[in-house]
Amino acid sequence: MGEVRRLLPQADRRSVAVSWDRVVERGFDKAYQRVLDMGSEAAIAEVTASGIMGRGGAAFPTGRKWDSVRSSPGTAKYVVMNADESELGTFKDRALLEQDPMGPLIGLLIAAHCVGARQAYCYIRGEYREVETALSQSIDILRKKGWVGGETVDVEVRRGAGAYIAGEETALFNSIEGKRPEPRVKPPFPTVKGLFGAPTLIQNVETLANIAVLFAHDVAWFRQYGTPATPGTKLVAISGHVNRPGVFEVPFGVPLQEIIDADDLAGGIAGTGHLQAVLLGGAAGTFLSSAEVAEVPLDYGPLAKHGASIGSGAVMVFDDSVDLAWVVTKLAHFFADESCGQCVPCRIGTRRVLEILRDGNTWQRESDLRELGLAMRDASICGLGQTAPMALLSMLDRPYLRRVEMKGDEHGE
Amino acid sequence: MGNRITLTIDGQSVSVAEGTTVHAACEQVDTFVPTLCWHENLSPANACRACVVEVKGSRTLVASCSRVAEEGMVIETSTPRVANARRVVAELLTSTTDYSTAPELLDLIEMSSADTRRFAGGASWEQPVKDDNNLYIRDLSKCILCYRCVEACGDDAQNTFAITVAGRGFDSRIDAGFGRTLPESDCVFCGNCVAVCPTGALMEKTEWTLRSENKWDDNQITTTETICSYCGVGCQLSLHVLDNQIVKVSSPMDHPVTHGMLCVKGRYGYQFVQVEDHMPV
Amino acid sequence: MAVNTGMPLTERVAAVVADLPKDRSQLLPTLWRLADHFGCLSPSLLAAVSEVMHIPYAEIYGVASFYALLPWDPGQPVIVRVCTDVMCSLKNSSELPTVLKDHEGVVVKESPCLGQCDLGPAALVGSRVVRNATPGNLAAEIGEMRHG
Ligand SMILES: Cc1cc2nc3c(=O)[nH]c(=O)nc-3n(C[C@H](O)[C@H](O)[C@H](O)COP(=O)(O)O)c2cc1C
Ligand code: SF4
Ligand code: SF4
Ligand code: SF4
Ligand code: FES
Ligand code: FES
Repeated sequence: MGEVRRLLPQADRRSVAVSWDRVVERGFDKAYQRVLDMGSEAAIAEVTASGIMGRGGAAFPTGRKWDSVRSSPGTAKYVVMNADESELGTFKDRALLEQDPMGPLIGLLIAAHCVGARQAYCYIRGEYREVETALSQSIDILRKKGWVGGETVDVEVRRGAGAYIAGEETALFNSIEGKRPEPRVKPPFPTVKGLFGAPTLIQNVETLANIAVLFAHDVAWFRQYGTPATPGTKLVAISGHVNRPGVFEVPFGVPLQEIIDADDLAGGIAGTGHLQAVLLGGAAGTFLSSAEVAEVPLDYGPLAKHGASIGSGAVMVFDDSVDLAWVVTKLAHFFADESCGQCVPCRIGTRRVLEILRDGNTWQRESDLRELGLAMRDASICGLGQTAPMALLSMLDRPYLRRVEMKGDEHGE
Repeated sequence: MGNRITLTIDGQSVSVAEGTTVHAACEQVDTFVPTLCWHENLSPANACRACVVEVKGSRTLVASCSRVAEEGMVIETSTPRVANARRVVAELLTSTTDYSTAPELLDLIEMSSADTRRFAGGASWEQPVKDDNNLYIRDLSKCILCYRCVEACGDDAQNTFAITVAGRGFDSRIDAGFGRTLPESDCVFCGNCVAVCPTGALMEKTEWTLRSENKWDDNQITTTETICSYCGVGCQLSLHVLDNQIVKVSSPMDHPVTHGMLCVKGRYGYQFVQVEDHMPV
Repeated sequence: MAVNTGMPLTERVAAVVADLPKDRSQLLPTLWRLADHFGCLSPSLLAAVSEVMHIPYAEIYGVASFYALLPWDPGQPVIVRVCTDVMCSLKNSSELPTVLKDHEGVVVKESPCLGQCDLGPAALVGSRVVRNATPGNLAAEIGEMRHG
């Protein structure tokens, strides 16, 4: 089946990315108009019927979230586009915003209209300055058309400043509010008490792009691709030992092996030519052995049987020359650096994991690592600490990935 | 006010007023759940995770100190997952901090059978004592980053905002801004941060000195209650006396006026009679 | 925005951020604005922000010290952040910092994943992304940064 282009603009597009023409060429003007005509409730019902789930990692049903924000009491409500994308190995939101910034923006305007928000924010990673400029210019184009500002919804771009944790939704609210971007305890959930304490809808860039293409077409069109449980397409960011690293749009349910091998996708294994493992979902993801890769499709249900999830859509491919213990040490480094420091299991736990791995004691201290990992998963406040030990645990669970000679810092830490 | 809800704690049915936390509900049935960062007069920081319990239907464990009880909740307070989390929290904290004057942490080690050496040997919090004023010292080697002092200095009590948590991750620390000293900072020396610190990381200079000379003895200290005479607010003072000397002044945490918080005159006036024209710094 | 360099710092700061609302939620945009204007942040700048925005100094420090991208290095060096995370390391990015450290007026830092893993090794020179980084194209970018 190979590559699909719905979220990403078609290859034969004529308009430039940051332009009103692009809005028209992609049918986004009609999409927005269609939502205005049908009314918020019908529009939310359509989102629910489409089966769109959040593409930022947690795969929460989007329609339900909209319903919840819409029905939460409160006059001030907010919508937020989460473009903080800082998960290791993840770059699909960047690619999407480079190629088609109008899509997610129209999705944001539709979301604001449906939940009754007058103020929207785009929170963009501080390292993506070029993309930020394109986003701001796109907003200006929409402002000139009267779609942003005035009686409609205002959109403010906020630039992050180098903190992966600020992508966690409640930390992101704190960042916008001018506080330390430390995650808040849930409940209360953002849909009830989010930004400035008001009901807030926060969605990933790619989720919002799905909204735009959905309303540019209809539910039946949307469900043409994907599986009944997981309709639609997914952007995957493939890196590592493949011939064509990059961002590809594929239908849910496509075999992982095909993503790696197909000529119009990643184009096959590079490096030594032998696949060792895939780290799926970023730093917080799960290792899949080559045998597992050969049998699972890109879909939540089947992946869950392997303890894996699609996460942010990062597909990191390693050939058999890579020492996975080194990879896990790198990941541990990432989490130790990016922990906000608020809670004990994560603040100290990420550091201890890093130390143990760096000293090359992974297998000698397997039971300590497992108990520490479980405590982090169980008792940390937010997803960072809860998922930080995942890749490590997935490696411990797959002892056949173990190398004879194990040293944490072989590749020159 | 009146609404009550019913939940189950370790198989026992409990009825509590709506708005009660899971931790308070546990207390009602004499089920002990340890806490470190939680303090009765401060908003929950949710930082230490010593108080986690299992809530049926929840993927992760839940901090009982802040989670409000809900109708029909089923709580387990001593499952293997809870035990593992408590134990690891104790082991992680003891691997970084000097816990010698932290009673609740010492209790947690005991009750969770923590092996304080298990994760020791790596980076720690050891650092020089900050001794920059006459009223209290900061021995941050003992800090567990419970956020209590920051909250007490901020909008939970003092509204001075002289100190903050700075940096992030393992390098997070209590700081008055670029590591500056307290006299250089906005601190007004109310000592409320000291009053709520659970580890002795913040300690009155008098107590700290006596302790370092091995002269501090909790059993020898008597307490006298009085009303502060500096102004008309009517703060209750507890004078802690050792060998006929006032060695510390506090206020009961449950006092309706003070909630345990005082100003510099009430807390430290005993050392400096003419506190108005002689700020004790 | 005419900012007289002879003015006291607080007034200069006030002028630089004159168009931004004096609202707590504008703290990070304010810090970014000042970082871009003055080249780096400093204790005295934060004290000025505290006065201009009526936010306690310690709180501002607590926020500012959290973020890895805010610049603190005085002397307006070009800051180069080389990604040494998993995918770029596999392409030997960890060798780049050593090559770059001989450049004068350049501060080299290692960075976590920059979201350019398909085009690694990646680096940030100032705020510009450099893909497929080599000592050569990094040097060129640094040069461009210096001379406008
Ligand atoms: C540590 C951490 C970092 C996160 N970073 C991002 C991010 O950069 N972008 C994103 O969309 N979601 C991120 N998330 C998920 C968000 O919290 C949130 O679930 C998401 O923005 C919701 O949007 P969605 O339903 O459209 O996926 C992160 C979560 C965690 C725990
Ligand atoms: S889990 Fe980590 S990142 Fe999340 S709140 Fe706790 S310390 Fe912060
Ligand atoms: S003594 Fe009072 S003002 Fe000073 S830091 Fe402590 S709580 Fe804040
Ligand atoms: S100094 Fe004391 S009160 Fe403040 S965070 Fe540390 S342990 Fe808690
Ligand atoms: S006492 Fe509940 S998290 Fe610390
Ligand atoms: S690992 Fe270097 S950009 Fe992602």
